[in-house]
Amino acid sequence: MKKTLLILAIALGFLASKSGQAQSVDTLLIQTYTAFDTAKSYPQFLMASNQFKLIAKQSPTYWLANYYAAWSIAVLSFQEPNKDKKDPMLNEADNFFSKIELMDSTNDEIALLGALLAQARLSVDPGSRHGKYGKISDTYLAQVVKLNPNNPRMYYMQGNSKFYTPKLWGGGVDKAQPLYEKAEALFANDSQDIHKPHWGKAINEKMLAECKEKKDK
Amino acid sequence: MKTIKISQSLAIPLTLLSLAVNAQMTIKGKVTEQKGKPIPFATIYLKNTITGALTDTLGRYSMHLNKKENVIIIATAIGFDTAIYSLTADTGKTYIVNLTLKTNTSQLDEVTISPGAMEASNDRKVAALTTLDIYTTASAEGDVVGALQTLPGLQKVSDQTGLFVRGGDASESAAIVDGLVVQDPFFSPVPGVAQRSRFGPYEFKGISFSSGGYSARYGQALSGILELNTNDLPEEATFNANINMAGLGISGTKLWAHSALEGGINYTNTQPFYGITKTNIDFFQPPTGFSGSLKYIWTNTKGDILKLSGTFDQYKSGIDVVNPNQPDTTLAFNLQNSYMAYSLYYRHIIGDGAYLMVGSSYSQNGDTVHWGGQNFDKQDTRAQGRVELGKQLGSKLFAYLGTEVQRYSEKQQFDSTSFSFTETQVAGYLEGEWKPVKWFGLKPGVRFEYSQLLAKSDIAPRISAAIRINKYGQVSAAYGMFYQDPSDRYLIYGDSKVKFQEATHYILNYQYMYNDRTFRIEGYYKSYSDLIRELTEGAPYDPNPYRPLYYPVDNSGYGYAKGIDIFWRDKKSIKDFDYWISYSYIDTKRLYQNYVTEAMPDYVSANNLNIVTKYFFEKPGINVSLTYAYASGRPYYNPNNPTFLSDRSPAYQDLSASFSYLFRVKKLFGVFYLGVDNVTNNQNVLGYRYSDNGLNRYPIVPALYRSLFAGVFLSLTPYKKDEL
Repeated sequence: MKKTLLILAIALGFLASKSGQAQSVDTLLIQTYTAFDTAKSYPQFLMASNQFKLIAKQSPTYWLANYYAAWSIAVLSFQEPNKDKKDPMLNEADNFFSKIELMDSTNDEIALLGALLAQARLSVDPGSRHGKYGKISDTYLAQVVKLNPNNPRMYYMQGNSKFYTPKLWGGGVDKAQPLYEKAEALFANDSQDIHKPHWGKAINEKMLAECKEKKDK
Repeated sequence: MKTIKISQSLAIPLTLLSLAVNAQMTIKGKVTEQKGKPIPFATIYLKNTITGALTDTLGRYSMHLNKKENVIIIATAIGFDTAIYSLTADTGKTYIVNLTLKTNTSQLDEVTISPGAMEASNDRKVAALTTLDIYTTASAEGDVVGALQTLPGLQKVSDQTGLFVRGGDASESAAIVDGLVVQDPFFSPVPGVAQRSRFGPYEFKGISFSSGGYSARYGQALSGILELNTNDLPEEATFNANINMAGLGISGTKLWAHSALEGGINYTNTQPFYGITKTNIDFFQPPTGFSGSLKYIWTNTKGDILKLSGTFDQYKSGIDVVNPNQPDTTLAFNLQNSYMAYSLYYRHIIGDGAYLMVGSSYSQNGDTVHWGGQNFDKQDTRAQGRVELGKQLGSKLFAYLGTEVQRYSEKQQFDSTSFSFTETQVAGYLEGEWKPVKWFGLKPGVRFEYSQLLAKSDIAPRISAAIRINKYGQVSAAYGMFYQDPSDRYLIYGDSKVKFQEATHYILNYQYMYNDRTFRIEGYYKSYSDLIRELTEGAPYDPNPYRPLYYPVDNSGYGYAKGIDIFWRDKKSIKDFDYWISYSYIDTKRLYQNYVTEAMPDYVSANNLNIVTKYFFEKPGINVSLTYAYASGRPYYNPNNPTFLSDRSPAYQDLSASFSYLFRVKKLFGVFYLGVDNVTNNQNVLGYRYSDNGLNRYPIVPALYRSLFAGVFLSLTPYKKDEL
């Protein structure tokens, strides 16, 4: 099964390369996004993330290509089992992010990506990194609030930050749940346009379910 | 990322016979490490295309192309250098391209040149401890030095005050805060009772303890230095309160955009502690007193930082101590201490990788002692200034140049007789850290020192180097010469026609650090020369450290120390469980002070073992720690034994436990802690003192066996306004 999927993914890349010039970058991004979104295993995620990176290398000035490359690496880094590999992965993501960070100061999704990358760094070693990266993440999220207070991903990430902070330190399920709920309501308005990043709905639902389950216990 | 071309690669065009195919071409192969081990999940792609593939768990990949073209195959994997291979692919053919990836050394951290040093820090990867460890280690009692004594190289001496580093006595170490020497790092010594350091772990962001071979930036310590760096701008405003069996205190932080003010006051009253503890010495006046501190921090976005701080401390205590002249009797020892210190630290970023650091401090300490009916007053002061300029020279070399001036004085008064000295030392230093490649570094330095009191100067060269020998292991070595004035006792009573005392250090270290596991082994040799000796002209040895100085002194003393320090820490193997084991072996002898022949000093244990364990129960928020300490017997003086200092006390053993419970009530965060030292109430004997006629001996024991300490720490952190 794994192998078939791998071949399928390779074939996808092959198809894409075949008529590379004719197809718009956006079409490639949509295909790759779908592959990433429906990935079930680590190699599938990695394959799609690699695809994003190749697209970004081909379109270095297109914000969306760099956005998805950095975003997919950040998501992947959370799954990476080897702690030592996470920082080098995130260094690569930072390279893509730095190309677009100052490109458009009115784009809330770019600022949000900054917060996501900071949280990914934080999760590598929460004990010693909480101070530094928590602050960076907060700074980016504050930017998002100003630009678009209705960004569901912002509430999702704030929910995460509460969820993974022990109750003792001001976090906890009770604090996280209302944030996930707020995110859920806002996700309903999300567009499905590739130009407007709309990831997060499914994972937010999962986190919300986890909150409810923990509360019941 | 560095790109290298692979020479071992093989490209064999094969004609496909067994498969019915269209005109497509296939490139396939295996990606391996240099030793032949396959690399799973390596990324293979064709340059300037979006055609890519992943290797499977056996390192195999395959890619298909549709039309004839020149392709550049690129293989990448985390932790490896990128490999490229070019070929012209023909229609209908299959190419086997095996690629070997070289381990990437540029992504590994640079070597750290720190033989001799152990660090406790929150932001350095190489640190052995974090500052939180100091709180959560049983037996440390919340004291920085208490925690460091569980690391190899620093001996715990329960009946003497100070840092005892690798066979060196308490006078041979210095404590440094933000680059400035601390004149009185410990509370005033009480005969026979080790005192705490003045350092609470919460004040510091980084602690580095060097047991030898330290930087040319510092001098006047033959054995080692404790270097502490205070916190920068705090992250949030807080209000803290603590109450425990030794007093209560409050502290708070006011925070502005680029500056902060921190302050605290503390009232000490150890009555509750000594009230329930069975002591071996009578504390008729348990230590009581007041202390306060204020610190201002300013910083800007460029990274300039200013820290201004002031502290005062006043306390009194009264203890019945063993009479050092007549060990079978006791004397009342009343102490009143007052201490104040101010310091300034400023670091300016000049730009272009350069900084300027300026520091100055002044401290004053006064002891009023009433001892067995005699009045004894001691006053000491230290004023100092330091200026240092550091600059990055190219990408490989960092150098700093600095100068410091120390002026310290001491005055002692016994009833109507008084003694005093004032010493001014001037020093200059130049040191460089050169890392031509990431896996090798060299740190040469030189220090010039001048003493006005001795009218002598010296030049002390220091050098250390580190080389990475594999992915996670490095070997480092250090050599250095260290000079120091005679200890205060000799400066104040002795004549000043003496020279600096001298020590030479040789250190070899191996360190392995990977995935929350650290192994460290260090061997050292230290030779002493020009140590101060009292020319006792055959008079019998007097073990009383408070004996008057009747004899002339000279620099004819000498000695050596050699040994091995081993440290192992593992935070990984068992979830939420953390432990470290440290072991030191030392062989040391010296002829100094009033020793009659070369001998191992009475504060040294040849074998020291510490096992520290911690377990964190995440759900209820409970941290439990157990520390076991073992030290082989220390030498003591037996006048009936013709071999000087050859008797050994029984081995020292101690098992300590601590328990802390973390809780939160709304905005209030709290920690309840309980520590029990010497749980088994083991009756350790540290040595013996003999009566003058040599017929009776009296054991030297610690002030306490089993003791219990408890308290609560509360912290109020206001929520940020924008928090939802």
